Parts: sequence; structure tokens; C-alpha cells
Amino acid sequence: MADFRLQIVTSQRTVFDESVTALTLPGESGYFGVLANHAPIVSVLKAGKVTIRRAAKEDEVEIFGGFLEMSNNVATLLAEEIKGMETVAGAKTGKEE
Amino acid sequence: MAKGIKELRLRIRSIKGTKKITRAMEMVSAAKLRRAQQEMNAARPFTRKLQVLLGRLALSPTAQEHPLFEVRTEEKLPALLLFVTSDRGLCGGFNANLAKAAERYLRDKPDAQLYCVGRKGYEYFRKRIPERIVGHSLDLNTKLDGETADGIGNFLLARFNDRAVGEVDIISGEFVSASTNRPRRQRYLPLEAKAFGLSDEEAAKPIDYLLEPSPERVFDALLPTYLRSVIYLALAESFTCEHSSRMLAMNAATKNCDELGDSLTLQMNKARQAAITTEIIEIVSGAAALEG
Repeated sequence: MADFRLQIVTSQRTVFDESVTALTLPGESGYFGVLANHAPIVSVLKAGKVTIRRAAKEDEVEIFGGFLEMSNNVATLLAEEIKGMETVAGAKTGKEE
Repeated sequence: MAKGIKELRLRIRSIKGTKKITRAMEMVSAAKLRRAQQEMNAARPFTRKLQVLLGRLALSPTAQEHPLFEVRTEEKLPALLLFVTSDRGLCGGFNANLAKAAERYLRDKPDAQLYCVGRKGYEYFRKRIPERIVGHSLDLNTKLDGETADGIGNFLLARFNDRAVGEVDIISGEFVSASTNRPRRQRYLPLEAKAFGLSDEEAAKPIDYLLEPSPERVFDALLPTYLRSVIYLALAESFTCEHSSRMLAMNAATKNCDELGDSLTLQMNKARQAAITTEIIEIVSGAAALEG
């Protein structure tokens, strides 16, 4: 399956910037999935679980509202706060400089 | 000699003490500056992403009709100024420059109200025009937290939404480099589509976004988030400026201590030598008188 780039940015810093296969997000009118080559979209997200799927594994993080923007195969998840990022492979800890 | 040796010795000792303090403050500020700068740079992408996104969306009709884009010149509503300064002094001309910029702003808009962040700016205007201050946040002590920024953002937004004010501007420090910063005045509300800094290239081929769940809902959620993040970033930048100003001021103070110490030491040595010379002359002339 085709991959696309996912960036996760919180109000404090960028926490994730990797290639992923699929996303499931808590939209205001229900959970929805995003695959590569999705039409350009801006969606308001409510509090809930975000599932990030990559080749062999699946990660789940929690957000408390935010936005998803996707265009040209780059998805940006903007969330003021995010939980559970520590366990996700490839997450930026903010310690490296 | 101008001064006695004892007085000079005392002054040199006190200057050495002062120098130790300014040197220590300089090093503390340097460390804090590094941390503040990191926080500021880390916070940038969030605001920047929202800005780009809003830039792309701002030209849509739903955005143009949104109340936060509404220009209210005809109603003669007062302006509101968010004035960001530091809580503590000893940071060179940082606060004075900001106060000058704020005074200039108040000359432009004589009926403007003030919201002060930081003790220095608050006290400056509390002595002059206390009736204009509608709110303040003090003693943040250069610690960034989202809640304070959100609180300020929500307050400003509420004033604007209640039609208590017609526009909101921010005067805060702009970080140019570790050795330079200057006051910056920026428009906060109403929003302007052109202020999102969209490149011509992007403006030429707009992206036709799906807006979920509805265009109105997207703007209602996106705009306040963006506005709060602008405050957060302004505070982060102001704190960075404060630390860099203090570092420079303390560096200059340390240098002055060195110079003053050197010149006083020279003076003292001269006085000491003069005293010795006088003593020798006295002894020699005393001996000569006896022989004579």
C-alpha cells in the first residue's frame, strides 16, 4: 500500500514526522480513516484516539481535540496536547538538538 | 592625591564584589536564554502551520464573513493593546524601548485600552493612566505555560466578540538575534487575510479543501486556536528577548567593573608610591639636616 507523510505538531513542538500507511482519527461527526492520496481536507477533531498504522505495526495516541490537514500526500495533525507519544517509534522526544 | 589609600582600597573591593554578581547574572541569563530560545523555536511550527492553513482558507467566502475578520472602523470603538514587558529589571533598554513604542501607539489611538503582561509595563502605565488598564498578567517570571497564554487570548477574544473594542494589537519584543531585539507592533484582531503571509505561488493555485464537519465549524475551531497560539509565541519570544537583553546588560556591567577596577587600582598604586616617596624624602632630608 502507498505511504504518505504524517507530521504531528503540538503547541509546544513537532513530535512526529514519518511516513505512514493509514490513519484513523476522531472527527467531530465520528471516526474516519485516511489513506494515501486522500483529497485535500481540513477536519476538526474532537477528543479521542488516533491510530497510526505503518507496515507492520499500529500505534495509538490520545488527543484532546485538534485539526487534521491533508494535501499533496502530507497530513498534518495539529493538536494542542497529545498523550501516549512516548511509546511510538520514531517520535521526537525534544531532547535531541 | 585625590583620595586616601584606604578609601580607594575599599572601593576596589566593593567593585570586585559587584563584578562577581554581574558575571553570575550574565551566565544565568545565558543559560536561560538558550532554554527560552529552544522553547520559542519549538513552538513556532504549530503557529506557522495554522498560519499557512488559514492563509489558504482565508480567501474563501465563509472566512470573509466570519466575525473575526470583520473590520469595524465605522463604529468608533476603542482599540485594545496587549503590552508585553518583563517582570524584572536589569535588562538594559528592553522595557524602556517597549514603553516608547507603546506611548507612540497611544498617541495614534488616544482612546486605546491596555492589557499589560509583565510588571514593568504594568507599573509604567499604572502611574500614568490607570483608568485605561483593563487587565494584567504579572509574575510569569519567564515561565511559559499554555494556560496563561490561553487565558490572555480568551480575554482579548471576548472583548472583541463583545464589541467592547474595535481592534486588538500587540506590542512585544521581537527577537532578531542573541544580541539584537526590538519592539514589534502587530495586528491581532480583526484578522486580515493578507497577514497570513501566503506566497504568491500558493495564492495562484488555491487548494480546494473539503471542510469537515462544516466550513463554519472549521473556522470557529481553527481561528481561536490560532489566536491563542499567537499569544503563546509572543510570550515565548518576549521571554527570549528579556534574557538576551539581560545577558548583554550584565556583560556590559562586568566590563565596566573591570575598567573601573583597573583605573582605581592605578590611582591607588600612584597614591601608595607617592606616600612612600614622601617618606623617603623626609628621612633623607632629616638625615641631611643632622649632617649639615
